Amino acid sequence: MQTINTIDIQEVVTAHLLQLLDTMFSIKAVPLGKSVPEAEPERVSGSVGFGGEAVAGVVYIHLSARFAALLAAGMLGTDPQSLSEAEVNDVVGELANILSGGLKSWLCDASFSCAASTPVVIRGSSFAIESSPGVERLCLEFSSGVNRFWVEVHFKFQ
Amino acid sequence: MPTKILTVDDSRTIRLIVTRAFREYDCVICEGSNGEEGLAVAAKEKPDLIILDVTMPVMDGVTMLTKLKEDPELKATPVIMLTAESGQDNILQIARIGVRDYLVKPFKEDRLIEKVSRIVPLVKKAPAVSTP
Repeated sequence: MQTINTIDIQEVVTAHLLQLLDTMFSIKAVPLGKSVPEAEPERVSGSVGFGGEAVAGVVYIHLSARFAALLAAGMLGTDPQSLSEAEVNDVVGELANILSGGLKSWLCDASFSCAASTPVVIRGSSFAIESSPGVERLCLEFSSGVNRFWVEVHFKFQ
Repeated sequence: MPTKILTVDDSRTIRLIVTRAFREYDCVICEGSNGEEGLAVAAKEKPDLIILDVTMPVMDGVTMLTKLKEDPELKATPVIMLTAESGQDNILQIARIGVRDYLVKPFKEDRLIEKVSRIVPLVKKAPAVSTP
């Protein structure tokens, strides 16, 4: 079983996110490196957990509510104002699902078998995600035009 | 007779994308949001093809596919599996349970059309004729 470190996870998550946004949303994003998510007036966060004998964790994607609505509108071919919160949440949940699927695939190919949860979407303001002791936390910032967003991975190798 | 396609995915977004992909074709799209719903819709609608997500609540895609194979009236229905995971183990598992093809998310709509058209006939809708 090979050793995996934070840099490996950063590379995998970054590459998969950029491909996902380009393929399904036709947008280009730029990785800005490690950075803790900033507070937003309203944030939408999608998350998917993964767990197995040797590894466990959670993948989050944090978007401003405004950017989430723009992404959803672009994907669904409609006007952002016409979308309900539920419709936007569904798009963010699927984003998290596909993003974590890429990480999970890479972990499984590296002999760290794990199963994934179904997506959870949190919407609100002034909330932060904290990890338990012994769990590593990787926060990555990205930009697309004027929009900034974050991917956060909490993980622990058992 | 339009081609009848059943899309089963817990994500409404994905079901919308699948529906939109076939908008130019003479197709009827049915939907299910989990494996249990998918089986009920399949039994009622007898689709020509099923596009099936793997990870879903209530009943996942692997279980739904297994139950499809046990149904004499549905076991011959071709299935394309949709998965967010491209890992070798996952792909091998999917291949072993007898799907016609698979598609890894994220995907472009034309890739979905290409895969479906290899299995069932896809006929483009006749252009609308405007009367003066």
